[in-house]
Amino acid sequence: MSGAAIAVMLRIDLRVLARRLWVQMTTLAGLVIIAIVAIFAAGDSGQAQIDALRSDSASLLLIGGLVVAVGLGGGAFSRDASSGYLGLLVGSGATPSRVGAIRITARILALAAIFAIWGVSMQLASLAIGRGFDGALAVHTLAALENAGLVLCASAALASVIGPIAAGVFGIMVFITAQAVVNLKADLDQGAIERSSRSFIDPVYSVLPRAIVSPMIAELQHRSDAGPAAPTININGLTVYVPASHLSDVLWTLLWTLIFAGLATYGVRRRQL
Amino acid sequence: MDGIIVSELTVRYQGTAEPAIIGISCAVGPGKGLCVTGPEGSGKSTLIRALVGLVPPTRGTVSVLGGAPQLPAVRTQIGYSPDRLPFPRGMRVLDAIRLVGAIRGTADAPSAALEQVGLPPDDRRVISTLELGEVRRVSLACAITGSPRALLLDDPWEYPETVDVIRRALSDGVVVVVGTLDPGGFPDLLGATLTLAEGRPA
Repeated sequence: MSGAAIAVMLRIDLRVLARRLWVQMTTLAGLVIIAIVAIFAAGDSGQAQIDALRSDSASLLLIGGLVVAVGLGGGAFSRDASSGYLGLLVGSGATPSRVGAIRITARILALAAIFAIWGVSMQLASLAIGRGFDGALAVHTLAALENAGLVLCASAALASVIGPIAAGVFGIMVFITAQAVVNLKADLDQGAIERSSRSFIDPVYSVLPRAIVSPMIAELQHRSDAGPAAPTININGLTVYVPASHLSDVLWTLLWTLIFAGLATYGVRRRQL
Repeated sequence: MDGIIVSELTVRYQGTAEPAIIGISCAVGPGKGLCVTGPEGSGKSTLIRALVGLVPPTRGTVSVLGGAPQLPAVRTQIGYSPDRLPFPRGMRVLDAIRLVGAIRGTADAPSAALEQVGLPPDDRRVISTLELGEVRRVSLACAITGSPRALLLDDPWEYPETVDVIRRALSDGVVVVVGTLDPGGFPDLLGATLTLAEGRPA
């Protein structure tokens, strides 16, 4: 299959996704929420205004991002495989693994496009309330995109063998696990749980994917204003602050994302179309 | 022979105990046709999917145009129309034809295939809004895009355009296999019939 054919497949896949009503409605709902957030933030001033915009934007990127990721990843293969569409593509000469890889790529691009729309709108909201370009929020948008990309690929990894809802649940479970691993590591490092737990937590932290925490979330936590995106953890009377992720965390989670994408592609290759 | 040769083909789907087809043998030469018929669940679609290489043989062999249908080089020469509604929601008619054409690496304009099946040459309608009969025409247009050397049609509806497409394909030396519940005029058109019952030749 030529590069031109791959480009056509990608383009048509993206067009089809862009015409899905739920994709349009979710993107639009995000824009409406950003507008509402900006209106409410405009009523505040100083640090409270910055925190209000950042905290609510982070909540949207978390919850909205998960919804989009689960929808795109969980629905990547199952319906189109049973309808015969993937069979039509493979029967026309595309290899199953290439079909799988292109569909995953198209979905990641669609996710990135939605995050770009929301991210730009958040920056416009920041400008509108007189705060200018918010670099910390821009970095957080990228961090949230990586988390959502992990969920998308984890959902897609199972979407070739099970239904979209079950695949989406798996994607959410992966994210919860990735966030729990990061929280446990912070608990341990800050002495909120016993040192003896290190023999369990360290290996788990080393192996499993890690939710990416942006510097903005870490900073908001210290002011107890991170919202659902990263609530402050209280254990044994101690308050634990989850630190911002390092580059190694970003790369490790990216590797896991690629592994899940590879599994999704392998699943399409193994599936009888 | 550069057509289709099926020898003692048995196919069992993953996770099922019983084979969907058992011990099927047939041969169809270039410019010849075969109508595969039988009741629902008799194995027509499975046979065609095995010819396309979508399901591997559990036993026996399949050769299409001189090679295994799993080979991409062979598949690009097969025109396949699945039996279901094989298009995702939101896909436009022209995009479906362009997509298949791009995979097959053809320079043919999509309009030629659309006109042959009786659809507007610049049809930009969303497929999910079409009537079932029109969707079958889109599926047929996908199958003939890129001038394939083997045409495998699963449950094509017998429109005059379908008959014309098959007649033209046969005269061009294309090997044609049609799977259908209701054979109608296909046996006469194709010249040979294979009737299946419970996965075996009846």
